[in-house]
Amino acid sequence: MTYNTEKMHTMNTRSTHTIGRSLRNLILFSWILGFAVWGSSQTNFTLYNLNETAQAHYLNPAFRTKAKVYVSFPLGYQSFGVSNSGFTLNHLLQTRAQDDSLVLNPGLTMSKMAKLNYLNGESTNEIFAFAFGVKDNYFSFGVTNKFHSSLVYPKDLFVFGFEGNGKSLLGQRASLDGMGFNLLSYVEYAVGYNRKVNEKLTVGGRMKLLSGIANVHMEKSELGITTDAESFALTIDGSAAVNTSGIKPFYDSLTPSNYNPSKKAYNFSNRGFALDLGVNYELTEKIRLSASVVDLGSIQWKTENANFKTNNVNYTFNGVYINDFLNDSTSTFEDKLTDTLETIFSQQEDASSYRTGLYTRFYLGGNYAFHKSFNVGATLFNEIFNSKYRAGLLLSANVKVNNWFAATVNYSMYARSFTNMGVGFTIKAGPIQWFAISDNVLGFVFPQASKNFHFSTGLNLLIGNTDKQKESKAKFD
Amino acid sequence: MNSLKSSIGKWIAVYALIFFASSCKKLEFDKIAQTAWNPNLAIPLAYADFGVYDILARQDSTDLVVIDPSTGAIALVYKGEIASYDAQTIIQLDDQTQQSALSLAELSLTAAPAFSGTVSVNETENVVFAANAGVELHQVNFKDGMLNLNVSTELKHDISVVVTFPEFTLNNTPVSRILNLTYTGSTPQTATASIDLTDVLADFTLGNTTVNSFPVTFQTTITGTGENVVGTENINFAYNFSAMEFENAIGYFGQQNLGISNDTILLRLFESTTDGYFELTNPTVRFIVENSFGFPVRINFAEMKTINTITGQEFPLTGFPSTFNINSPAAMGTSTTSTLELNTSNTANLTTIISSVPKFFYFEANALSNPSGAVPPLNFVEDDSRFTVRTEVELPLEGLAYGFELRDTVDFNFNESVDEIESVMFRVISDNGFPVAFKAQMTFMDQNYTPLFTIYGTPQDVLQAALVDNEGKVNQRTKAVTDATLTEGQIALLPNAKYILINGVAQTLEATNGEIVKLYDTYKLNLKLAMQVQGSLGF
Repeated sequence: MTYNTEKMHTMNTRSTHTIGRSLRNLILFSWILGFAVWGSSQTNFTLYNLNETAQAHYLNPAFRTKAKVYVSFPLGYQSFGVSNSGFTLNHLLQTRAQDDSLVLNPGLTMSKMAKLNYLNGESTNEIFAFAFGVKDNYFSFGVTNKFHSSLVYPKDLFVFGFEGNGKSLLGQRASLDGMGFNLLSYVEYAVGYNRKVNEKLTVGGRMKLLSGIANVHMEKSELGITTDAESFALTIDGSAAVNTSGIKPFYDSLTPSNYNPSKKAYNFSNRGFALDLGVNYELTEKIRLSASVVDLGSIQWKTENANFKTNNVNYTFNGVYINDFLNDSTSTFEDKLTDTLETIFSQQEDASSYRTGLYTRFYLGGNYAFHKSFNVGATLFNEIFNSKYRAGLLLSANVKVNNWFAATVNYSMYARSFTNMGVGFTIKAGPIQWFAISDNVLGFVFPQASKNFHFSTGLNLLIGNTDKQKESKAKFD
Repeated sequence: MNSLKSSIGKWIAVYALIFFASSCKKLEFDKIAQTAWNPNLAIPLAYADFGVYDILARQDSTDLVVIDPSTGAIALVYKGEIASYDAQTIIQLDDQTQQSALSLAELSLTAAPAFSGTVSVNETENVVFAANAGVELHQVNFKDGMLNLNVSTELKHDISVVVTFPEFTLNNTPVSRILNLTYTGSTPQTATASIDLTDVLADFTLGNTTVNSFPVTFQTTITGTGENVVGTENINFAYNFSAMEFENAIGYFGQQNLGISNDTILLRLFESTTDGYFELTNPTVRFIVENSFGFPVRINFAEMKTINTITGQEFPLTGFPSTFNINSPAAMGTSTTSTLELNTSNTANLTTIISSVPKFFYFEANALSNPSGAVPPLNFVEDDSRFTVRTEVELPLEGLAYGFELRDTVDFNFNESVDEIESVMFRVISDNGFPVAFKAQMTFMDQNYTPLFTIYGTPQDVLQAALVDNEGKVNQRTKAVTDATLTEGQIALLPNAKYILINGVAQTLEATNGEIVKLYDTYKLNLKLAMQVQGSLGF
């Protein structure tokens, strides 16, 4: 564990019960909150509880490795994740009763969807990082490439596609509000500081200077198609505004053939700032509480921008207006419809700068140590992006065998998925530390039943041990 | 610690088991069977707003929807021009040649073996101008025409003749020509001259003593050549009139039959009907005559009736006025308009004959000019004078109708694949502001007009009549939704269908109970056509 406790304290029975209730309440609160909004991108829950790794401080700057110095060499930290909150392949494809053939089951698929569903992809690629400790202080520096993408698809889009508008959507508004695509790619340059304030409390923070590479930001996405139950008239309403940066060169015919977007990884033409803050508090020798906020910041997108905005649309298509053709035999239906749609869906484009927030995350953790080498924990993950709040909950069991091996197993609920089993371990052989993590190992075992796929690994060089000479009585060691 | 190690071992075993099991469970996409996609699409196809004008007058612009500006009440007016006569049908100035001669006596010559003297004489001759039968010309102002003079004689002497038409004046000056004959040793001697009649004013009354005549004066000088005078010679004159056109003419043009025989007016409102009772409470038939001829005309009506062209049944009109007198305009350049209106007050059964679903209004008549004979004032006519007879059948849309059957066949062509369509439902939504209901039935037919299938076993209420107040004016619109579902079997027949026969029965609100309704220009009919398709697509 990165938060070392110097001494163990005897815990009386009363306080144990009190803390036990608090922990249960915390878990219950987290459970309810987790049900409220399920759906998130990959979260690296497991890494949060695998504190032996040097990169755990990416999720909570109050965490620190026991090594005096670490260098992310030669592999560093690499993380990839994909999640689909809407459905699994098992929902989409069902085995036919009379044989083992697979048939599409759109009804089941749609029943599993929320109003809005997310197909997220995320990667974190540590380019270089190192850290070193000086007494109670710990300093770190890291360069990391981050990529997030999120395709938001409403349930009604599938209903419209599978059922048409003549069944459950008849007389209803097929809501495509929120539909869209977001993409965020940037490189962060972080400087971190961690300090053990006292025996119980450790705090940390990271200042990050960001260089934006590309962005697609659905600022506004409202679209609805209402089918009148009687006349079947189709009313389209909504408006959209999307800002892009670094995308236009890929479709603009004026882009030079030797265009190289990689410069934006370090030239800060799209500059941003972000802050990570964390706290770790050992309430007793058996109970540890932690909290952090990560990626609290924004990027100002200034270069290669193309921003599109449509008018507010409210157009009802009642069919062909016969009178037009009775009075004018020269026009065609296609001509008139094209003219109408061009008028209605006219868009404005500009290249003005804009600002986007990051995928700001909040972690709340609580761990209870049964033994110096075994503890259980609950972690509540929260994310805010684009004014949308998402949450996930993780229950973990964490073990540590001496200094060479640590592992964590967890069950988590996120992305409207309740069958996620995370596994992570770290092995230290001499100064080399290798770790591998998956927030949902079932995604590789039962891909057809999984919504979440995630894998992280890293290879670090660790030198020295700040706690090596200390006699520790703490359970969290 | 041993316990912990045991726990770790168990976890590792569980994960190994899961991983092993996963190797047996793979995504077998090759087992995906053909799947049906059954979308149900609800689509608006078309909509329209029809006003009175759209419904009643669109098919033929010669029919006129008349709106009473004070009330907005609607009437249909069917117009037709049944006769039109121009001035040339009244007066024809035909090409003609008139002649006159001067005898030796009139020339103060007698027979002689040799004549070397000089003789000068003045003579006047009256010449007849031929007009068409019954026309007595008093005065003609020529717009065009030529008068060619020809003189010939057997006299062997030099002759000079000044021919003057004292009643043919151009700018108040009589027209005149000099003809010279110089003897060269052969006879007959001839000479010609031409007079352009353009703008010549000709008087044919010989000083108000007669008609169709004009005087000619001759100043003749004969200079003897020493040749003899046989004693039988004359000087002959020929007056050849050609290409005459008049600017105007005055006279008495006789009792001419202008010859209106018979004509019909197609009442298109009833064109597509096959049966039914239709009653308009206040129809009128107008005969409108515009006359710029300067004489009176009388039209005598022989027969009026309506004809159902399908059955051939005729419905005679009775009690109508038999004559229609058209006055003469007071002066040239003016005209008169005379109107004879037939309505329920001056006919015995006009409402009845209109009610019988007719197609044509038929009438037979003749017109006679100067019905009272040659009584003053004199007739006149100008070259652009016309006598036109127009008719208008005005049908104020106020009444009732029931059992009013309409039938039409429209082309239909559907070549799309229907294999992936399970059912189609067509929906007609009407929001009717007219106090008229309409039941319809559609039959799809092949290229031989053989019925394939019929939508609606019995005619359905596509339109329900709007409700009216005590004055027969609509005070509440009525909405109707009518669905027609094509079965899978009927859909399969659609590619064979080439025609759709639309049968309909129209009825005004409570028509069978005698409810009178009126149509106003504010009435609107809103129609919407929609379709719901149940598809079945395999993939």
